[in-house]
Amino acid sequence: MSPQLQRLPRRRDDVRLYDKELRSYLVVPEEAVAHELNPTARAVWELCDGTTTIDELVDAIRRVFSVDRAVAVADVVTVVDQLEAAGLVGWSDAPRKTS
Amino acid sequence: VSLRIVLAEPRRLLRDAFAEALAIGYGFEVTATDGETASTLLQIERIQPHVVVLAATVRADLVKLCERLNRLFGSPRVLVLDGGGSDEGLLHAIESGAAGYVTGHGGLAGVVEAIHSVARGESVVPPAMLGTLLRRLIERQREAARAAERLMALTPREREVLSLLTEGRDAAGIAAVLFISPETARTHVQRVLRKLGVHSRLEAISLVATTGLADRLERMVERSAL
Repeated sequence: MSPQLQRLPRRRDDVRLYDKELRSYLVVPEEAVAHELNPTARAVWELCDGTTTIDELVDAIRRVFSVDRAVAVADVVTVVDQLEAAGLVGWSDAPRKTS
Repeated sequence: VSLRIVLAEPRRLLRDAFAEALAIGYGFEVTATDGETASTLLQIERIQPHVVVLAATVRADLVKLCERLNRLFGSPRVLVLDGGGSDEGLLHAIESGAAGYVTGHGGLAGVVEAIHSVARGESVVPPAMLGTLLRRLIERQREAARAAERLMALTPREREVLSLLTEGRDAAGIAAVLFISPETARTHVQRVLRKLGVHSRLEAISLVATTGLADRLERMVERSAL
């Protein structure tokens, strides 16, 4: 299994989740930016608690949506990468080694 | 082609109103049942519906309905309709094999959209409830992994004893099956409980049932008996 799937994403404590009708947003206090989330991204965000591995997330999503593992891995990794790129998520474990 | 629906709702007034709204307002072919397992299964066999809409209040065996639909179509197409919506209800629906779970918060239009999604083979979960559902599924998975580890720590004889416990046998019954004394059976039972980290036989039985270990235990006992 890829080491990346054993990583533990952790959301920033100061970021707030807001739901408005069917849309969800992440808002960072002091910043005038709201990040819109789709339903899967919203669920992934909730589970970025620093104790849940990406692999566990993938398995749970497959259980609900009956998708291929490769598709679920790609979806979850893409969401976490985007959240990390936006500075909304960090990692509880050691940083990945880059080649 | 209009979608065929079996609507299972035990409350007569709601059933009539809902069936009429879905048929007249949205063009579905609706067959309504009272939600009893036998009558609902009968209608499923007769109508071969695209989707079964099951009110959360029905007494039907959800697992049995999903299995029957799976045999008929290759995939379960049960949509559970839970007016109020609850995390427990959602977990039960998904673990039973339902394809979707919809609350009344989106009104009739929301239910209709969910029916179409399930008919297309999609899974439907209220977005705001998805995170909690995934968390519960992950917790269940972790519990099952821990329970499996504890099961592996049992000796073949202790697994036999656990298997007999899950069949509802007491120490005397276990002793009779295994040709050992009741005292020895009681000793085995106490060891099993200690190794599983539970305090009673009921807890042990519940652990096996809720963590999906029954099949694994059965295979282990069969193998150890060879």
